[in-house]
Amino acid sequence: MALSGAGEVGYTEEIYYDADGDIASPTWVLMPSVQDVQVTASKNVAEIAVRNDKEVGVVPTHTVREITVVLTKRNGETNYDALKAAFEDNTKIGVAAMTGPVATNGEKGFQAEAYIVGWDDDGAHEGNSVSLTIRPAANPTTAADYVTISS
Amino acid sequence: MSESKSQEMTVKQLAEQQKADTSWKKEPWINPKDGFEYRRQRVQNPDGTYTHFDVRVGKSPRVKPEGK
Repeated sequence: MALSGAGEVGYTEEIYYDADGDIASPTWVLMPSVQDVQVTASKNVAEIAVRNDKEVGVVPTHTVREITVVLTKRNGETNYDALKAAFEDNTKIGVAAMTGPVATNGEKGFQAEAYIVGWDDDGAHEGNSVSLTIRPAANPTTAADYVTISS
Repeated sequence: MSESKSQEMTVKQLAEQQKADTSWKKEPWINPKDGFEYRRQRVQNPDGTYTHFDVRVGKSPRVKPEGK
């Protein structure tokens, strides 16, 4: 994603999911009552150790991405139940982590077909939080990529 | 958590509902003018209506732009 300002580093303003799980032509639904979003990426590395070299160097290999979303539970929040069911049933969803509203021209983000692989529940009452860990799916129908809204 | 069981909808049920309406869908396409791939998408608004839009995919063109 081309950064237009330092404030966008590691920061996403809106996160959406697609129940169909194919991001070629998804129907995005805003994730409800989001407290916090973290989009992280790291590289696996091969370490190159050579006796005559003073330092051990690395060669980057696979990229490991993870999206963590913290939701606040609120009564009547039906999307929360849908996401919980997707976690329990291993249902593939689409996910879009965007810098702003997904239909707004110029907003940027990362879109992927993914699974909810972590569900850290703080409690059953309204106001408690739940933390979702989302990881890109293997063998997606449509490849994950950065996008820019163009209309 | 929802207290209204009648309003609960699983991702599978939502997916089936959304798959039923395919009239708006469009296969991804390459714009020859800039070489980028584009995808047609939509977002569900709070009132249940949909807003359609296009997204440009990737950081570099998929093909060489026309005339370059």
